Amino acid sequence: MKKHNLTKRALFVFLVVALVGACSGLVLAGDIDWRQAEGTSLFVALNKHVYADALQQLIPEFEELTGIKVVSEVYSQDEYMNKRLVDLSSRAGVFDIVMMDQAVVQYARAGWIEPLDGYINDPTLFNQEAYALDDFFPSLLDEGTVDGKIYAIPVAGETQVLYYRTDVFEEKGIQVPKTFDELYETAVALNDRPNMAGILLRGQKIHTAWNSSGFVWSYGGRISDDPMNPTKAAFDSPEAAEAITMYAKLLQDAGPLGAGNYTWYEAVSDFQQGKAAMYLDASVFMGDIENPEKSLVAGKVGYAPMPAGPAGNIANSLSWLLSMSSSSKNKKGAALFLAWATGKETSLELGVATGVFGRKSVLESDAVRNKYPRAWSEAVLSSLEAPKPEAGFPRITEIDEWLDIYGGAVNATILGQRDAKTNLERAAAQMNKILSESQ
Amino acid sequence: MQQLAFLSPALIVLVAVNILPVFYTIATSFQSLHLAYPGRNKFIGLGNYISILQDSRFWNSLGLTLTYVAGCLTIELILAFCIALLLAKQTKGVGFIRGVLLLPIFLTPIVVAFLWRLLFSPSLGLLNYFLAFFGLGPYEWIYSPQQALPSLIIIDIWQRTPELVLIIFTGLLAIPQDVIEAAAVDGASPWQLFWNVKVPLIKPILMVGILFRVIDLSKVFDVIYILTRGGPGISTETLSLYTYTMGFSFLRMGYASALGMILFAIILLMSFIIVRWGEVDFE
Amino acid sequence: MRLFSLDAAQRKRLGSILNTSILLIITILFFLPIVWACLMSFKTRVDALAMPPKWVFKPTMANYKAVWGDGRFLKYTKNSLIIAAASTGLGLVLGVPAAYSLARHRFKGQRALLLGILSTRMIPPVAFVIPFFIIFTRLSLNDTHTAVIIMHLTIILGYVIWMMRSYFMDIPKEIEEAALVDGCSVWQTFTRIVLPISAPGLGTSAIFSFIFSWNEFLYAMVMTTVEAKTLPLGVYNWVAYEEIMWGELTAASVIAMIPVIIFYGFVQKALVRGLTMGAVKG
Repeated sequence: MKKHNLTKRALFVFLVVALVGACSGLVLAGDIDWRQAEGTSLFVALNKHVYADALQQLIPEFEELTGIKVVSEVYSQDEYMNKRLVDLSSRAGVFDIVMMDQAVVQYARAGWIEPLDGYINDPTLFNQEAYALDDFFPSLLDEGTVDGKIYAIPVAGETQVLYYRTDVFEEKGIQVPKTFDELYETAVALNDRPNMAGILLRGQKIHTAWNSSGFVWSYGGRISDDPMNPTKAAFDSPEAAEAITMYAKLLQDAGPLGAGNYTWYEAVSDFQQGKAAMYLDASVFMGDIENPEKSLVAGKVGYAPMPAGPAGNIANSLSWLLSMSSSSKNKKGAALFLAWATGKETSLELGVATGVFGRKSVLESDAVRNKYPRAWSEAVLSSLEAPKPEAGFPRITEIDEWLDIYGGAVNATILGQRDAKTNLERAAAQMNKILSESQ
Repeated sequence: MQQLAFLSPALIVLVAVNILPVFYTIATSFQSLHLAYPGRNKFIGLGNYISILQDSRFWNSLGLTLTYVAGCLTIELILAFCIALLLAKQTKGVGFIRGVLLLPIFLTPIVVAFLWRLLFSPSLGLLNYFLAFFGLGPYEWIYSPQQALPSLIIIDIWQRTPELVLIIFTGLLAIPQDVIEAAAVDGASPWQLFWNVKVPLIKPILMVGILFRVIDLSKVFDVIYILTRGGPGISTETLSLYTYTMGFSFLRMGYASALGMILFAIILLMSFIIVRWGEVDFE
Repeated sequence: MRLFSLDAAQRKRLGSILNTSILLIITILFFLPIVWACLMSFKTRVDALAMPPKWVFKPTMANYKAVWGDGRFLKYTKNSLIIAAASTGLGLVLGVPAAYSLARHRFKGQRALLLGILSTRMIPPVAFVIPFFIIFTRLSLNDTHTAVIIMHLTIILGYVIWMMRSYFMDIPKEIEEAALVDGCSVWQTFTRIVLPISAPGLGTSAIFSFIFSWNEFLYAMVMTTVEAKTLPLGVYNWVAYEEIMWGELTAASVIAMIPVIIFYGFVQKALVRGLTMGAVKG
């Protein structure tokens, strides 16, 4: 009831302000009219993720606020990628809001998703001041920016952190590794396969691409020639080869059995079951690892930033983003949804519930810091604030081919099929051919 | 006239839903269609087919497809013969054994895939746990490029051997008893009896079974897609998987259509050979 | 000197025991994975992945409650039922008369036509899904029951024609000739005489078609978004972002298996025929 009254009062205030504003010809600074698309409906398509589940819980609040009816559906990853492609490329227009990932460049350049700057700058849809675009982590906002325009807004940022078993480290009297060489020594020392692997890393072809990019940068290498508009692969450098050799060596000498096909499913399960001493991967898995219903190691886990290479520690980051289908038949409603879902209040509520964030204010809020391990939020914050030389994924349309080819080279190295240098050189040649054809 | 009335509705629908899409795919296979660059689509003649012939990943997938088909078929045939012969000797509980044995054939592929994903887990799986009692393993199963294809073959053996068991068993039951007795009187050894008498007699039925097995094996998609996506690396990327990846991940629909047509042609050719060589009579 | 001297009867008995035991072991091996999945659907998450595996545990119905309590699962079940029933029904309505005609009349090119119909089974689904995806997009049919029904019909129609033709060939022509003499039209003979006799064949064809549609994965994955999603894709719901929820996933799988197992019980006698599109008569 109270909320409803508030909304009504807000509406009243808004109307007065609007009237005054209109009379005096001033630009509005008050809250926006949330009910301007009342009676319309929206379809929100989400990829299975803690963020997606939590957002779904909050959607009734949006419906009450705006009078827009929302249908939302959460798909598992394999299925989602397929559905999103089918719906957006065919311009079927079922989806209005889509959860976006590294495919954002492809979708933006193909014209399947809508540039959002026009909406964000429209004071009737976004209240600039309250929305505070500069509150987003710049590195995450960049992920959704293509050719200078914002196509997607970050909602669930992740960065590479090191998970380690505090009990094991204490018992053995081992220090948390600060460099990759120390990481390797520690992993080998703790390796007790098959009871406990020294370290977990994702090894499956496509999955290695994002994880290993952070290694390449930390060794002083680059993935492509131009961070914003790649035309050639640069991952055939000696630095990159050294980085990938380390990545492979860690798994070969101290990784779990079958590491070459490990995705996060296997890695997280293993870590939860106490089958590994360390785990280097995205920060988002903290929630599951600390959940005592699922995890045997909850409360026994420490967090540290990714170890450093010769060029420092440059952890990779990525973000799940929200974007608008350009075939949407309710773009005004979709814009309101984005304003609400990515606004400060909703973001904070979701951040406290799940530990995911796109905004700095969420990660720095007391509510989040008190609820989640302090070491974790500090590791995440320091990694996200450090500048990255390139985007988390190359800014190209042929992103799936990059994942396949570059990831394939890393994977082949892990599996001991030829050395890193040969694999990366071959992959670079393949990638260059594809990039030159697409020019 | 009446014949036409009975036949034509089905034929019209068959043409509409089966023949036309095939022609559509053939037409697409002559184009450069890339989903993310719809404006750049053009007719390129045999361009896709020529690129495919120079594509080492295509040859890899073709080799894997043929290995998979041959591997599954050979092992399933041998196993099926053994089980069917045992079953033919059995007097009690044949119905029960048959009923339980055949159940896997009808399980939803997605269930089969996840079931085996669980069994194959190197650290948490049942298979390595049991094999350890015999001093075997631990194996990496679908997590290693060398073991992944054999692992997938094991799944198919589990799910589809019963199909061949049933077909061979049916064939064995149909052999007149006096033929076998006559051969026994002539002093045929059990092996001779099997190889020279029983196998030739069930050959027509067996060939039908082999035909359907080869068709289904060549098309294999669901279980591999869910379990390995063609990995690790491209070690289980059969032609179906490669076609899917090309079309729905890399968005190269023209190229994918050409791959699909090549797969169709291969299946047609193999079927033709089996029907001809096996003297399959569909009457 | 022989340690064990067995007479013929004893040897026969021993052989029979051996035979039975080997068969039983094989049967158990084939059945074990299914049992394991069923057990898992009654386990808590910690028990499910415990190593060594737990054979004795406190069963929980939580997984089934979670699956059934998720409204979507009911919707997918309904979709699967509608799609399987409709594609089977259409397949029978179109295919049965055609099969009858092909069984009763000979014409030039019939063998080629039959093989042509058989070749519909040889089309690789991955190749087929591309044109259908493009065509359905133009017709705005994506994510409708119609789209999936049509796709399943591409397999079912040819299947029904082959199956029913084999059943019709078994019916002696004399029965129909007698009916025709009695003044029945061809259509009447077909519906009143032939169809009732072939009821077992119709049932078998229907069940096999139904199971195919119920289990189909790829077409449903590409062609459906929300409204027409089928059960096999519903099972995917229990694959989360960071983990596979084994308890719920196996519970959903067990539910998806139920109709298949029931129907399977009905077609026991006609299995060979069903699996070979009528080419082998059991």
